[in-house]
Amino acid sequence: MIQFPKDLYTDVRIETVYKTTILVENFQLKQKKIKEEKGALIRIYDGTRWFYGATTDISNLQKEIDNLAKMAKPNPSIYDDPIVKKFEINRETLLRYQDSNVSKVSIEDKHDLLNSYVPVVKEFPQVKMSQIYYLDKYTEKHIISSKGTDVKFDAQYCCVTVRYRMQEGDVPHNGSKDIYKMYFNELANRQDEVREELKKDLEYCTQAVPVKPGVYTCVLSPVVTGVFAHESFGHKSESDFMVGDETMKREWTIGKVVGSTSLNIIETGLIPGAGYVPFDDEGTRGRKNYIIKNGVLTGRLHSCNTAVALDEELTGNARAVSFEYEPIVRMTTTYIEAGNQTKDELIKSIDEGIYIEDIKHGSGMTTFTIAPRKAYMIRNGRIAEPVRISVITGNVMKTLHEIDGFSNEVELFSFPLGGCGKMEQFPLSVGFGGPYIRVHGINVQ
Amino acid sequence: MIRELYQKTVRETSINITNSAIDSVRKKSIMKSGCRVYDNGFIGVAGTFGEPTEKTWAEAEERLKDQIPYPFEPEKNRKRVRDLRQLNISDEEFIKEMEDLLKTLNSEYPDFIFSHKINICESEISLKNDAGLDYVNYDKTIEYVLLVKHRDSINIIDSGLIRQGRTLQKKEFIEDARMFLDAFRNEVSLPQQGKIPVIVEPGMLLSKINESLNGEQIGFGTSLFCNKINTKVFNSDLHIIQDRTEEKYHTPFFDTEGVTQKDDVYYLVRNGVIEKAYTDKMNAKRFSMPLTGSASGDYDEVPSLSSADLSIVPGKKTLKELINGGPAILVIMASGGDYTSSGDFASPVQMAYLTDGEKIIGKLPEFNISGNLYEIFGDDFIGMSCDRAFMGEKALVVKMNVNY
Repeated sequence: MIQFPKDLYTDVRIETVYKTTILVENFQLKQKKIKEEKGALIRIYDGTRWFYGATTDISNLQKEIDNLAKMAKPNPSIYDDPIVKKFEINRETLLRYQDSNVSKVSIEDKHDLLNSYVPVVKEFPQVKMSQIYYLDKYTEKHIISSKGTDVKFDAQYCCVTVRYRMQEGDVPHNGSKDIYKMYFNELANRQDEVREELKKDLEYCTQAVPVKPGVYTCVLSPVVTGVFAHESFGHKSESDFMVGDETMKREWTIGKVVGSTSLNIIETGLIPGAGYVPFDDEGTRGRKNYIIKNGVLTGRLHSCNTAVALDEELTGNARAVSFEYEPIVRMTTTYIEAGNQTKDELIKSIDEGIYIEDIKHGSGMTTFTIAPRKAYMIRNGRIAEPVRISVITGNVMKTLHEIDGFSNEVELFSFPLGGCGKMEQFPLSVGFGGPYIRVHGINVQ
Repeated sequence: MIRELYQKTVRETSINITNSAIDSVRKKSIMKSGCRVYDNGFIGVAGTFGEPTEKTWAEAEERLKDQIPYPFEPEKNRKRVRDLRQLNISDEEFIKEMEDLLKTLNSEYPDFIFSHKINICESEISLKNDAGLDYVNYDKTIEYVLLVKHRDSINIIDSGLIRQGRTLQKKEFIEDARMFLDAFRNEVSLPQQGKIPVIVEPGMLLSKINESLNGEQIGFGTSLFCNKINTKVFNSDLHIIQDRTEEKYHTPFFDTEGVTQKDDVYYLVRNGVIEKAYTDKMNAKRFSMPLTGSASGDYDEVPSLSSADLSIVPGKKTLKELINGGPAILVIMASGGDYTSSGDFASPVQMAYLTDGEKIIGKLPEFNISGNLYEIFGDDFIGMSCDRAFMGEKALVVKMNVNY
């Protein structure tokens, strides 16, 4: 039982993580490990400053709290502080993965599953190097605060990830396929998905030519749409950049038209996957937030600090990459809503454009960038030859007005390796996705 | 059976700055221990936070049954301690010094908002085994990463003020800040479009070389440099080393297999000739390549080859001499760029200044840079400066295509 220091606000987030990593590299076992970690992040607030302490010494948590409290100045009115008043008080245990916990599956069964994917990669002699991973992670978080919050919840994923490097001629090509699920038994018998991706990559590797740089109309696949939504507008919705900045408050007034009238972007921690955050790392309950609705700015993402600073409501977006860090404003699952066209209809209208099928990475500030992994010319309304592209870029605030087509189905994605980076905190698991979208005026290099 | 312990300890005091004031202080002290056991050509590894217990060692021994091959002798009978720590300041003094720094910036530059972090980080990385290996590397640095936004700007970030070093360097940081923030107020245009000398963070442009010098990729025949070993493909003045010297912060002098090199460097590219690939023990043996000591991996992983700490060897010219009187572009923020698989690079440049190599002249608008790997480090390679004109760093200067 924690004794919270008097006249200070305190909360503690204890994270217990179980992880499995099995790696078969070039068809030879390279890593096989189970890791169980436990650590805590203590936060103390005196009304002026926050003090954070990260520790793995859970048995001495009280001592860590007491030592950290010595840095703060006791404040008898701390519970009248607007930030402390804003904190939700939640008391709930939400352990949805307890019965299907991946830690209950033997490591040998996980290794056998991984081995069932090895023959598929061996079918392709053009693959010069390969890494086939089995990865899983079960996380249990327990957040308690001096204001009365006491929430315990879990999250989990497991996946088979195939990375390969192939070469035909002088130019190597990196390809990958992720099979990312919540439950172990969903990972079996998906070899055909890996095989199809390998075939596509081989075709790309042998046929891709350098793109002619220029400005094009592009059709983005759902995974690229998701990264585009995340990079182009998601980061701009993180409200910490607005705190104390009157120019930005004026620029980002709720109700401002920021995109085409069909554009809807949603941010929510409630969808199972990499962005599943039923409670954020301050104990705030997750919810569904429209950040753009019909092209109009309707919301932004908050921690308690930023919600108070901007006099807005909590959204459940205070997240930390691990117990070693304090929560800051981050995305959970961000996606663009579906429209009513088909993928073929989007492409059919384009005489000369580019279809971006897969990505290596993206980034976003005033200018967003996406580095495509696979891309194809669109000629006369049809997908044509594969092209090599360094990067596609655009001004965020112009490009959101240039989206004029949305396919009728949303696909959501999670990356098992990597994630979102924001300054020192990388990689944070996030979900993203959307439909196929058509965007004009993209600068392609 | 040989037991080996790989430990990484990080102690950090981190000041967070929001809206030009300190809003929080974070303290961290995390030890991570990786226990390795070697037996009959196999390796077993297990990890834990804090000091390992007999249970951790037992888990490592248990993993031997997986028969992960490691047909190499661990390093033996070697001892070295490298202690690079110089900074000696209490948390209270550190906070006070940084409050004073912010007071100076806020009073002189009230039209800017400063945010993000100033950290003091101390690391201790050790590799010890019961065959007489005893390596320890200590380091301690201060890292200033202040994001800058003009109060009238609608960008999330306009620029950054960055510096890292083993002494406090508060005065130098403020001097840099004055130079950059004064220049920020002076908006200038690109001197021309087309090829212009550009000063750019080396890691961004070296990424393709790092990928392509990987011994495993070359050995398996899937690197741009497969057929280019012992071939001159770059500028004669370009020398690239695997660098574990004091120039690199928090990089131990040994790799995760305990391999070291004389003077902590290993030449991979010399006089523009690709001489060697970087390797770990596994790939050096598999492909009969020289062992360079580039094994990496997390504290609880089997050592393996991923990428190397590369540096471009500085020349004898200062930045001003390299630029030779003409204007050059100093890139501050270029986020999101990349190479194609065939070596064509492109990136937007979100923030850059115009400079003569000594003074910062003015702030440039957003533009794009591009170039090909063999040109950037070939005919377009101008040099790596011997001095540290800006932000405490030596500067890479290359010509790149610049356009709006």
